[in-house]
Amino acid sequence: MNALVLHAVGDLRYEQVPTPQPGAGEVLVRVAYCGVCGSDIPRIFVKGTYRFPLICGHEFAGVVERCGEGVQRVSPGDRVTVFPLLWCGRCSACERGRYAQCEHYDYLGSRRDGAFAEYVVAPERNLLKVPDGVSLQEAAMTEPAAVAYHALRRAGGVAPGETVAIFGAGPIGLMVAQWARVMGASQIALFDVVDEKIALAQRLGFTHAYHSHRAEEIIASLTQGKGAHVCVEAAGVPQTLLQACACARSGGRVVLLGNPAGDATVPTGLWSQLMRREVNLFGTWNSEYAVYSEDDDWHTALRAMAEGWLQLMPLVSHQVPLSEAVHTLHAMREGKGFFCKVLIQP
Amino acid sequence: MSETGASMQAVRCYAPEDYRLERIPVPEPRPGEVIVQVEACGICAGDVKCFYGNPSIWGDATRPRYVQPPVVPGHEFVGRVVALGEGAGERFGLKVGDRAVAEQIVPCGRCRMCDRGMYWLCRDREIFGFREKAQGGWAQYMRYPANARVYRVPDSLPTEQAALIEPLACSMHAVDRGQIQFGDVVVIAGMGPLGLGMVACARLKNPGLLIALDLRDHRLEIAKRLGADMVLNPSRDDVRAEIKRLTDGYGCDVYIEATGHPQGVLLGLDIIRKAGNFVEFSVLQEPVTVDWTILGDVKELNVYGSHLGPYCYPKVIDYLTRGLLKTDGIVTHQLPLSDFRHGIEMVHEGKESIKVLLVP
Ligand SMILES: [Zn+2]
Ligand SMILES: [Zn+2]
Ligand SMILES: [Zn+2]
Ligand SMILES: [Zn+2]
Repeated sequence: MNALVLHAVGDLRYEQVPTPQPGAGEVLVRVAYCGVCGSDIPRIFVKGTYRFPLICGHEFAGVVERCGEGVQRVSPGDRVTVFPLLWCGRCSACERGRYAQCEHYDYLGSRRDGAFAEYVVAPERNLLKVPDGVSLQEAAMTEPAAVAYHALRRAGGVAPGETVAIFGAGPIGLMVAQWARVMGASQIALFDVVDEKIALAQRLGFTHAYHSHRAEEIIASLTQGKGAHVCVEAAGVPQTLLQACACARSGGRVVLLGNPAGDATVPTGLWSQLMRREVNLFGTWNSEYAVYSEDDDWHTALRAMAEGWLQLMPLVSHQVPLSEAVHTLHAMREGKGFFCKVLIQP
Repeated sequence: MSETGASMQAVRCYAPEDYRLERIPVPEPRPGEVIVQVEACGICAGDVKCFYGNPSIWGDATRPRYVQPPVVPGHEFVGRVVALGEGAGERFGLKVGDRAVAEQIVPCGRCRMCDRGMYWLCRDREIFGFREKAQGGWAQYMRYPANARVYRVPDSLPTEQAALIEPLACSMHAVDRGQIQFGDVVVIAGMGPLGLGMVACARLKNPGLLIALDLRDHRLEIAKRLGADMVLNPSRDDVRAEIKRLTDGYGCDVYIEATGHPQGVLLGLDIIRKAGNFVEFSVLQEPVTVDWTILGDVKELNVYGSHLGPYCYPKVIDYLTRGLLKTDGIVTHQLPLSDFRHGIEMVHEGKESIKVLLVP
């Protein structure tokens, strides 16, 4: 099959590799679309994967091609998306169903071969069927949609009437904004430094989308100086972390969602304000997945797509064939042009 | 042990009041399973209900039958490992000769509740001592199935403590459900083995005042030994007036109902304060009629159900081993397997006995 193989940091090649074979309890999935995650760029060009050579790509959907021995819940032809974290099932986190916190996990696209390829193998229990009416492009965005939902759930969700401030209007930030709208937020503000992202947010109906340098002033004016109930840091930038903390009201919730890009120094005044105002900080990591339940982040994200609560297609800025993806990934790294969600099509 | 074909002594339940002492084959280990030689196994109130044909176990017009006779009863067991199926040793950290308990429930591992780690509420569960696939501990040997939740027990624990691990896990969970805070006035009603275990567990939370209720004074004496600050006997004491006096008229903060009797529920609803935590643990003999408005409009109560002892077995084993959890006086009798009928009758009457163990 054709695949994008990472041989070393920055050494990404489009080449032929053997098609993987599903073992017992595993399924071979023909990849229809695989999204490029924000984390894929540093993974490919800076940090590297856990081993080489390795195929990246963990946000994908496709069609079941073949089932390994003992597979019962899916059959060839089923449209599926895949939770890319492979949990051990034996640790204390797994025992409680907190698979993303597994102490011995494996991961498609960073620790073992992922979906920047024509085919990928995954355990049966990691597969979810895609509901009718949800396209495979949308289904390939289940992972970021689940991550965005999980971030707000970590903060106890959003209550109707609350103000939510989101720092970073990339795909995840825009998905957080959509979830906040579904949950009944009365005001949603998005901040970014890239004009195209601000414009896209406005096109999606988020009228309070502004340049980040005005964040504190905007939030103060939207909330009579009280601050936002929920602030989501979705950029991973030190300044936006400080802004998210500064914009939270007394008793407010700050969610740390963006992967950190550098050290943040908390000024004494802000630190003190976090204490005086009893602000709650929530880390969020990945998403909650369940095999036999339907109220986890993944099933909920798919249902939200089927019900039309989330509009994900406007987030897709590029669809590129696998053969041209090396070029696109380099362009993303170099910041040549505007990218929102990029879908690779094997 | 068991070269193939070996037999053992076991009690088997065929029908209400038709329990027989028999010789049956010693179980052989299949992959993932543990075979133990039973050291002791308690007689639980549930076993007594089963013996006398309780419809919640034997079924009636509205409920299916849960028990699958013929079955070896008993779920409060401890045993010594005599054989390990493939993989069981690594999975449970056990070797032949170790002592081990298994939780009362054998969860399916593939329902919604199991998926979320709420295995004690498993939809497709098996329960030791009632089900064909989970034969119990009133026998010389027993099998812990591959799905069982098995824990090693230190040799240092005396038999009468090791056999209490299961009921104490249930007690600990009920106390956890009550969310006791420092300073709380806690009332635990019903000083059977489970209620006494709750007193011992609640003692470790150091509430403001820990009060035990029962109609039998000898049980209240044991409750005092296990850590109750005060005991009241509703047949003699005016419990309502006393709680009012002790709490400036507010009522107790936490009430744990373990009497098995409707009166225990009514009393609790009466003496608990507004917004208090009411824990229901009992398997009640009959439906309870209460003024349901008390829960909402009158007191805005938090009512917590409590079932089994999830995630409590390792804690109970640890606390017992370190001598933190008291159990003195809970086990009153140890009988040979052949005396099982006498044991059941003793538990049924509940006069001088509290926990009765069968020792095969
Ligand atoms: Zn991702
Ligand atoms: Zn794990
Ligand atoms: Zn019991
Ligand atoms: Zn289950």
